[in-house]
Amino acid sequence: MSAIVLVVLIGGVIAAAGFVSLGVGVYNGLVQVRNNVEKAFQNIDVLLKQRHDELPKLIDTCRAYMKHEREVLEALTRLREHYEKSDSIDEKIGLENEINKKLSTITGRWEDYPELKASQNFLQIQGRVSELETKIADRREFFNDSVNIYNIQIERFPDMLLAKVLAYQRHAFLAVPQEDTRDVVMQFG
Amino acid sequence: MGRKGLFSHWKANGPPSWVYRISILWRLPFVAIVLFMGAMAALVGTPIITGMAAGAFLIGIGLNLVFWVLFLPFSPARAADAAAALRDCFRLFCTALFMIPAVAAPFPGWVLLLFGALPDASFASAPELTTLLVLWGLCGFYYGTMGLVREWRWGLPQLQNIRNLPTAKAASAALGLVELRGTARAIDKNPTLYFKREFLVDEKLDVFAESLHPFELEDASGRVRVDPSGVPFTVYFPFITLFTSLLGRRPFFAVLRRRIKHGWWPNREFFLCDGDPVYVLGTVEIERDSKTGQESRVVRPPREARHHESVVESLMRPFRFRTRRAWQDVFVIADTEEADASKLLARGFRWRVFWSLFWTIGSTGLFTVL
Repeated sequence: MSAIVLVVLIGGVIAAAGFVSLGVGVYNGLVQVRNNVEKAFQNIDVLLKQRHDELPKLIDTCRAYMKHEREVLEALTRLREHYEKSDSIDEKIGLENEINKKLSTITGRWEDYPELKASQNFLQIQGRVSELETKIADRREFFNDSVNIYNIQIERFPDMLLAKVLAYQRHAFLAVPQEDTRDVVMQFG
Repeated sequence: MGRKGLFSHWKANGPPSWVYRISILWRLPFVAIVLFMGAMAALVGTPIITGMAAGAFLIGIGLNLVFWVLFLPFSPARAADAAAALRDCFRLFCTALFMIPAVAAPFPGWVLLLFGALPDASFASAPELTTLLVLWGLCGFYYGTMGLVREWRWGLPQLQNIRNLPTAKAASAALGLVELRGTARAIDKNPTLYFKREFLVDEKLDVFAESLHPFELEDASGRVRVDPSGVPFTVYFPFITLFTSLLGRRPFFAVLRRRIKHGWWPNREFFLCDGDPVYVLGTVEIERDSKTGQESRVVRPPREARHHESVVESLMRPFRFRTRRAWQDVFVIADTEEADASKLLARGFRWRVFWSLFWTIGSTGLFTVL
């Protein structure tokens, strides 16, 4: 075998090794962002479960006073049960966004029930839920950041080529609760 | 101080840093030139020049060994262990026999690749010379390939970690590798967290550098302590990282874009102060106060990186595949935004990959003598 052929062969091997290492790098990057999303969700799921454990007590307390909100409270109970049985992250995100909407509806109507707001039991449960909401807010932002990076990665060239082959799908974001986006009412004088 | 007093002083305190610098700086260019001359002589076909180059090469190896033999027994840890010192000398001798040809291999290799050998080159009539040149090429090929492997296992994952990790909040950062962004706050009364000064004084480079002090990173959610002590940092320049890579180093980077230049290079100062914006990529650990028992979170470099590397370990780095530090470990401090730090680190990565390819492909040129 002539020396030039040998050098060309070695160059070909180096180029092939380069393509393989690029492919491995892309694959590892996709695996990393997918695991980051899962890790971020597991970290927030811990807090969500704690909040969901408070929900039955909150629902029972509210049911005694908020007789006109029976449908919303029952929907909240069903969603919570469904969440506990669910395994997939996307399904859990969808359910959590629905739970947030229903909770926002309930919290928006607390003002109409002064007897409820005066109840010690209700105040204790509401305090615990609010404390958890503050912790959840930070981790929600972190989770949404992870999802954003993941979604960009699977749609960016050349990662999208491998992502399509491996059937990587977009993840949904965790919605911000509606009371956090409501305008603050300013009172002067 | 007489000669005896000088050696006693060095034995007690180690040689001064300028001696170390000279011992490193003169070797590589000198030996690279010698080997290049030797290769050209072998290719062109003049035995006298070949002989002179070979002689100069042997003198170069000998001088290297003299420096190492002089220095190693002076390092305090080795002073009492003569057998370990001799073992280190032998390992360094083997490393020098491999590393010096490896560094010089691509120069004649590229000449052969681009222009080919002359018809009456020496190796055409000397099969032993052909074998030597092929072995030389193999040394350079392995050296360049190790550089590519280092970038694949360490450089690329480092960039991926910066790009793929979401930014955590200081108050709620989980254990493990995290990325944080905020403002640096001094823990003690000294507002200077890091300072490095390089100035030319009387045509000599005068460098003064402080260690990076522990500080707190503050963002909207709270504060977390960052403790980079125990590991050496390199102020990051994309091209300079090439030289660290050639020596097999995987340093921890301080990406400091805020600097003061005084006239021409290298007169400049780098600093990180209280109130500066800071980006940190590190590992969150739990630290327990021994007196109060209180636990707190602290961001640190990886545990395995916090050990002192001996002179022998540092010289053998380019050829070690197994390392004490995990390949995936990373710790970066920057006074810029994440995107700017990522761009700078990516530029250094591309430099190192380019020159590793230069070494690998160039060294294959020596195989054309077959």
